[in-house]
Amino acid sequence: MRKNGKRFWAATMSVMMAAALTACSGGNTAGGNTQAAAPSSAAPAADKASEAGETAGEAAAEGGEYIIGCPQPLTGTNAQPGECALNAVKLAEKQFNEQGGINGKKVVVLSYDDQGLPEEAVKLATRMLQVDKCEAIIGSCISSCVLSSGKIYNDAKIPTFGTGTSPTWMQQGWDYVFRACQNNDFALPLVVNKWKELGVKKIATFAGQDDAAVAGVNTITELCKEAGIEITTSESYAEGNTDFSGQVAKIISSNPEVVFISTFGPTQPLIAKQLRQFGFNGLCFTKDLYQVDALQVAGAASNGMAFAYPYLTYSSVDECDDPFIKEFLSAYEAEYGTLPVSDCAYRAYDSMLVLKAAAEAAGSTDGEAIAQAVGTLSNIQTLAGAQDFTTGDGEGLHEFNIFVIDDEKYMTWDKWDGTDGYKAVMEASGLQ
Amino acid sequence: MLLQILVSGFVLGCVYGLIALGYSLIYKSSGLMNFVQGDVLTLGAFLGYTFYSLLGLPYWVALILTVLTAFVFGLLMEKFVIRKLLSKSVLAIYIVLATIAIQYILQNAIQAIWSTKMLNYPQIFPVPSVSVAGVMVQSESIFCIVMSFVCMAGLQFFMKYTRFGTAMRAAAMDAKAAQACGINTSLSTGVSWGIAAGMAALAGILLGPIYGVFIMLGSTIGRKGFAGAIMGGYGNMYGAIVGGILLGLVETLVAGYLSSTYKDMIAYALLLLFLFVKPTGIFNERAITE
Repeated sequence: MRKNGKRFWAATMSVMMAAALTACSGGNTAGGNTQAAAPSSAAPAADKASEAGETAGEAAAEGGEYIIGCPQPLTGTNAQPGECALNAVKLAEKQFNEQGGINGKKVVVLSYDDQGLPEEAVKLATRMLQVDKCEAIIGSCISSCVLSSGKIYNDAKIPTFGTGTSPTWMQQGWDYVFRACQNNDFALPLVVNKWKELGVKKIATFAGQDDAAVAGVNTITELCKEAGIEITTSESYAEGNTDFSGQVAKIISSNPEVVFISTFGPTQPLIAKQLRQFGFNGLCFTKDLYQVDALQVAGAASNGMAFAYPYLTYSSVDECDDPFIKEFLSAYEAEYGTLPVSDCAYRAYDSMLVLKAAAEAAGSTDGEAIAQAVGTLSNIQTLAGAQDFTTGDGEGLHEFNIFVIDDEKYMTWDKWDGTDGYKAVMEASGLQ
Repeated sequence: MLLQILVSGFVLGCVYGLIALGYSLIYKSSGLMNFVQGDVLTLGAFLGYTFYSLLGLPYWVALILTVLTAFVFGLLMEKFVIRKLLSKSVLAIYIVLATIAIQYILQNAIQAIWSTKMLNYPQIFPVPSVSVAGVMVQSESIFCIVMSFVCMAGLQFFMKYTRFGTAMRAAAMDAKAAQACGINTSLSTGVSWGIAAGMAALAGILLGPIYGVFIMLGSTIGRKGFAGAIMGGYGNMYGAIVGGILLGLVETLVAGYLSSTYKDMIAYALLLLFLFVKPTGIFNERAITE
């Protein structure tokens, strides 16, 4: 009897666990499984050329291999953007090889997990260059990691495209480090100009403690000083925290018209929900794109969140009306069974496009030749639009749009202006 | 503002308390420490999401299944890892290290199974928030407070007034003597690890609708829960909840009135203060070996 009881419980629990796992595998056709299969930090994974592009791939293979290292945070708090970035790089690898590689060489992407930690990024940089002999790097989406490892790549004359949005690592004067995505310092003046236009007199800030978040809030503080906008309070949070009630209460009691949120990833919907729950229904600006999954998690609390950015993420391909982004999203979905929730996929994919363009312009995969060629590139078609590197700052993007969320949907500021949603948010902000 | 901060701190403290209960229970019943609690919370959130959102089961069924599944996880962890190590008579620090190892394995396993996506946990109650003394509080937060106190009272009763609870305490005090009295120490320790995991998972399914479901949901909460358990008196069920609430209140008050940048520093300084000045915690639980 006792044995039967044990068997019953064992069988019941097994069925429950199996049900849970089956259910999530059904709903998870995401890149999560791809990421899970990805190697750990110390074990790089060389992808095989796809069968579809076998002929071109074979031709490319005859020309040798072009090894690109891709360190991203694949575990920890920032695993989601890191996984999206890596997926996009691997998609580009596959597409390039189907087209004959880069300058006749087969592209081989080696992936690494920097865990979003600067010290891990330094260790990996040494390994990538000395052991795996990487010839180019699509760097981490965590700016602190690019900042800590950038000098190593630069000293080794390895062309590197960081995918973080902080201005700091591009201010180091490194000749071999570039960016094919947003520099927040270029986008934030647009935000402050919008505030001036709206007659904003006082704002509050809420920021994380990572490099990009701190740099974002520092830039806003400087710009506000110049524009005569008062900062009523500057609050921050430590990574991993989920409750911001103390900070939110302080922000609201300081009575700002607008809240500037300098965060990344899973914190976005948490702060949005808590701000709205505590009664702040006014205008908020985020330093980065307010991601599509944040929109889903926070729901109506996301309304009135705005940001200056080059692109959006989508919950379905049909929502996108940009043909180039649509093509990328379709290919990404076909490869991974889901759309990228983080724009880090776009950043990494664009970096691969620019690297290829530079290598082709140089007619070589030599690091020095590629680095020189990057500076001559203009009108390179990417997901973020045409990129221009001839400005001499190593940055390809200099123009952005202001987007806003209304009725739980993205729209451009211009379209939003004057709508009922706009009027409600402006009224809540005390700007009308 | 003060009232708003106090209410929020209380809600946060109850979450810490729920995790702290698990730490205290394991210590009370086996004299061991378990650092997997935070990640079991994350597991609970994902299991709850799967049962409730993906399988479409009624909330109460999802909640019970989540707690039961986590209970089995805790039981198996004790049986196949902790018990094996104990049978080798290893030092207590090896048990702590084993739980830290399981913590990382569990984190990565959750990521492998459910992906890195942040998932939206639908609202449980039709009314999204209620007014408490003029402060709007999410309905799920109220539910969380109620469940914390129910668990605290239930566990205290279980440990003090039931035969099995008494057996668990006896096993913790002197395993050999307890065995000589016919107590199945392996079972009692296993059940305590199971209950602790079940409570952490309960916290996870309760927090899902408040914070969303993501892979690092429980990592910081787990650490704070441990701190709360020590402040309250490590091993005391009332102390776990009271310590958790104290920590939650200190954190939110510091963030609201002093500095949000240093709120964790101040909260952990408070923990150090307790260790030095009152290592037995608020409820005077014996924490120093005689």
